Formats: sequence, structure tokens, C-alpha cells
Amino acid sequence: MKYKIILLLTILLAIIGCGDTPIFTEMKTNRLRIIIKGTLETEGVSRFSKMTDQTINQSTFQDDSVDDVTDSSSLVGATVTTQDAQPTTFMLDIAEIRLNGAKISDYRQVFTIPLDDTSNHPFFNGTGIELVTDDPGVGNYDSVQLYIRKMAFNNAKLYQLVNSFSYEKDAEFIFNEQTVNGFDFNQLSVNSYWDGLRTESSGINRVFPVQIPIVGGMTYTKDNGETVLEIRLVVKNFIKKYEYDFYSAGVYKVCHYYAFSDWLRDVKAGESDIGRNLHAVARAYVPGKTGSITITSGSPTRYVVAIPTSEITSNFSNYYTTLSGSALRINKVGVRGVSGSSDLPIAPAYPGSYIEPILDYYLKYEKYKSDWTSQVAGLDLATYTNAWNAYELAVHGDPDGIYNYGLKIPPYVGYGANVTFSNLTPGTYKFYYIDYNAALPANYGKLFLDTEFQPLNSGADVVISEGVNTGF
Amino acid sequence: MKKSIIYISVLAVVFLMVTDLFAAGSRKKYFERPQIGLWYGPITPIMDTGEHVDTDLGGGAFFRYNLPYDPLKLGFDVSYQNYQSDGVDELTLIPTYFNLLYLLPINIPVKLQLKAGAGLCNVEFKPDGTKQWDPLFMAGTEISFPAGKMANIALRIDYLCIYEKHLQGSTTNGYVINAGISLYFNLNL
Repeated sequence: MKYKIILLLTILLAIIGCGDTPIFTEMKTNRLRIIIKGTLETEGVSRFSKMTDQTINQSTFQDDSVDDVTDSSSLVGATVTTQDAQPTTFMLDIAEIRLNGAKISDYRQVFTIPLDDTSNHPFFNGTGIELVTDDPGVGNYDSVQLYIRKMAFNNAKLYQLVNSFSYEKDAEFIFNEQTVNGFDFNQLSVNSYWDGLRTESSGINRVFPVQIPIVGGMTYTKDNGETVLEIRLVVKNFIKKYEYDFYSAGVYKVCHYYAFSDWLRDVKAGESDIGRNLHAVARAYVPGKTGSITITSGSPTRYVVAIPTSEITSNFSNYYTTLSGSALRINKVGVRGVSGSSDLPIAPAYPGSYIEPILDYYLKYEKYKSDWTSQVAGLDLATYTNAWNAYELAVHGDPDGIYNYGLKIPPYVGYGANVTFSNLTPGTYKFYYIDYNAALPANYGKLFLDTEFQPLNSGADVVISEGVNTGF
Repeated sequence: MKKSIIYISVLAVVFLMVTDLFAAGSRKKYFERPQIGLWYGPITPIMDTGEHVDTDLGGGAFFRYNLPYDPLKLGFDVSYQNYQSDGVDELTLIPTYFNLLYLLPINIPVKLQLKAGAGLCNVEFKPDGTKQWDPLFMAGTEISFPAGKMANIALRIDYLCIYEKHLQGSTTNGYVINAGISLYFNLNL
């Protein structure tokens, strides 16, 4: 009996058979490299109109939501250190990365990145910063989720209203366990005014995670020595000044802070939500298995973009918007204050238990009720819902539909008379150019509208093959 | 699931204790009976393996049977070992092996045994998603204290090598050290 048991166990072990994957070797091998860049451009530095060419109160740089302290230099006792100054660093705290929802990295990664051009930081010079990650399982992936814990620019300042506005102090927040100057605008990257009316409102946060499409998809296999996933966030020269209003101990205060341009989702005076103005795209390639192309665009002031043909045929409209910012909002939901418009007034914030601001609040609240009542007179719920749904579709897309990422930015973007894309995944692409004069102040903080996309190569497809440099 | 298995095992042992299964025929020869037991303790990845995953706690069960040559026993050992990393990588091992145990002929109140064996190890690596069986070799030692004629308490330490160098593209094996305290019973089979 006893020997039968031993024999049975031996046979059982023998018939299981052994695997052929060197798991422990695989464990110490890193095949996936995630690179993150802060420019619209795929290679090289940002060619947008420069932030440093904008003055601090210029309408291109100062959003129209700044309405209480429109010129900090005119405040009583204003000095160089007490008035607004453009940000010089970008702070980014990444908590986690997922691919198609599967966690591949939960290493905390914190970056403090200088915004100036002379420091030539890899986040902005086309090289990119490498994020620490573990390898995913073999498979096809079409989206990456970046969980951003905090995002901020420095030089945020607080002004308080005591008789008249005056500088109070530099705004501070905790970044990487240290108190630093800045304003974490991650917390405002929501769209609660209208999302709050939706059933899924509690789950709507635009940066935790940021849903980023991998244009063209990523096929991850162990046969490739290395796969590069490149994520681009449009940060450089896409920054505006905003104002955040609040009460502290009964005192009305405003914080001037810097965040991404509201080119797509307009931020109006009195609003604090700035969600869906972070534009992000990802692409994947296998080094050594790519093609390249050199395009003669003909003009030194042109953006050249490449988009896989499959994306164009399925949904080119994902890549452009016909209107942007306030024009888009007016088009979809109407003009605030006009009877029948779905852009209803926003209720004033409650100041807390302080008698004077409360009296002030009730006055504002009466005004709000009057405005709301007169505007809502010509409005019914269906119109309101449809208008905001249409706006949401235009801005961030429909999570369950074909516009599941909202506005996408092209996976390959270059600038100049001759543009080279050196690492294109083999496939068929269409090329477009966009005339863009960086010297025009009006171009600051803007992406491209549909009418600006002009086909290159007569709109014909270009086949990119592995190891081949082509061009037109 | 892991807890249920432990509960069921403990209950089974208690059940067996109340039967005469553990009744040793001779008090002096109690250690030379078949034995069944459990162990629990720190599991430590070492060398290359230790660079990627961290020490954790693991446990297992074993059965030992006498051989015609008295100081030698044949053992069968199975355990569950889950290792986490700083990131999302996670390694799960289920070593399953036979070993030979040699009782050192030293006349002291404790029993010293040397062990060596081989078998297979189920290796699962997440999020990579790979799961397979690999050959395994082990060596170890154990010091046992008798706790009456039925039970023994032991401290054990085992070195496990999960052999993968024979595979194409492999540059390393899996190396772990299991230490643990164990409780096992002398059966009256």
C-alpha cells in the first residue's frame, strides 16, 4: 500500500510536465519602456508660441476666469515679489500606470521639471523621461491609464479682500512630502457643474486616471527585445493663468494659479472646474522594427502630422474639433444669462459662519435666484440635458461610444519646412499640415481646428515599411 | 481559500489524534514511525530572485515514511509561497518534492536530520501571466524536539533551487530559502 502511494505521487509529478519559459530570467528582464514627454511634438522641442513671450496679464495668457484681481501690479503696495509671475517649474506626481486597466506599475514617481528652454530638460526636449514599470502580460493594448496624484505649477499667489484686494502670501501645497509654492490643480480637474446631474457623476475625475489612447495599438510580445510606449502630455507653452475663489475664516480670497489652457473646455468667470484640458496621446513602437519618413512641407511655419489611415477611415473627426473654448460652449449650450440657454448661472459659495460674508452671500444668492429663474423660463429638462450631452460629446467624448477618448491629438507631430519622423511603426499613414505662426500672439495656448488640417501628398496614403526611410 | 486549507488540515490532525493512529508501539522507537506535519515561517528569495521579490511568510505540509535502512526516511513535501515585489510583480511558488532525510547518529535529546531531494515546482508570475512547472532541487536541515511520544516540534531550514537554466534564453534559476517552525506527528501506521 505505502509503495503504491509513493509510486502514484511520482507518476503524478512526472506527467505534469515542465514549462519552457524562463520565468526567473523574465522576471529580471524589462522589455517595456514607458517614456513620457511634455510636448505636442513627437520629436524635438515645443514649437508653440512661447509662454515667455506672453505678458502676465495678456488675454492670451490670463484666462477670462480671472475677474477679481485682473492686474496684480495695480494692487496697493504691489512689488515684484508680491505680484503675479509666470510659473518656472512643473510638478508631477504619478501614482500608478495601467494598460487596458491592468496594473503594470505602482511605483510612485515624482518629477519637478523646469519650464525654461535653457535647462533643456528631457521632459521637454524630445527625449522624454523614462517611467519605472513592470512588464505586462503578452497581448494587445489600446489604452493606457495614467494615475496622476498631483499636478502643479509654481508661482501661485493668494490675494485677499480686506476693503480692497491685497497680496496675502504665496500659495503652498504639499508635494513629495514637502511644503512648496504652487497650486495643485489636479483637484480641480473635474467637470462637476453638469457631471453632478449625471448618474455616473461620482466616478468622473479627469486625471485619476487620465485615459490615454494608444494610437495604432500596442502589441506586446516577448519576441521583441524591447517595446517603447511613448506618452505625450501637452504641457509646454500650453499654460494659462486662472483664478480660484474661496472664503477662509470669513475673508474672501482668490488664488492665482497656472494650469493647462482651456482651449477645449472653456472656464468661465467664477468657475473653478477645469477638467479635460489635459491633452494626452500614446504610441508604441519596437526599436529596430520601425520605418522613417522625411516630409518636405514647404513652409518653415507648418506643423506636420501623421495619423494611421485606419484611424482616419474610422474616425478622423476624433482628431479635430470644429469649434473650441467659449465658441464651442456657446454653440452647444448657449450664452449664459440669455433666456432659454442651458448654461445656467452658478450658485455663490457659502462663506462659513461669519456674519458679514453671510449677509453678502444672501445678497449674491438673491441675485443668483433671479438670474436662474429668468433664464430657466424658456428651458425644459430635455433641452438642458441634450445640450450638455452634446457639449460633453464634443469635449471629452462618449465613454461607451466611438468617441471614447473625446478629442485626440495626433500620434506624430513635427514642425518646420522639413520634418522627419524617425520611429514610425510600419503601416499606412496619411499626412496633414497645419499653418501655424508661432509669432502670432493669438496662436498662444491653442491646438488645431478642423479647417486647419490640410492634406499632404495629395491626401494619398503612405506606406511605412520596417527599416526603410521614405519621403515625399 | 488559503485559510480554509489550514483550518481543514488542523482539524484533520486533531481528528487523527483522538484515534489510535498516533499510538506508538514503543516509546523509544517513536521517531521511527511514519510522520505527518505542517510548517510555517519566513520564505526568503535569495541571489537573483531576491533582487525582484521580497521576503514573506509561507507554509506547507509534509509526510515522511520509513525506509528499510533505519536512519533514512523518504519524505514528501508541498508548500505554498507567495512573494510580492515593490511594484506589481508577484511570484507564487508551489514546491512539490520528495526528499531523503538522514537522521544523524548523535545521541543527544534532540534529533538532527539532513535533507536532500528533488521534485517539481509550480511557478506563477504576474502580471506577466506565465504559469508552469519547473524542476526543483533542495537541501536542508532540521532539528526536532520531541513533545511527548506523539508529536515533535522542529525548526527547519531548506534551500530550494528552481532549475530553469536548461531553458533557452535563461540566465538564472529561482533560489529561495524556507525557514520555519513545524509541528508533526508520529503515526502508528
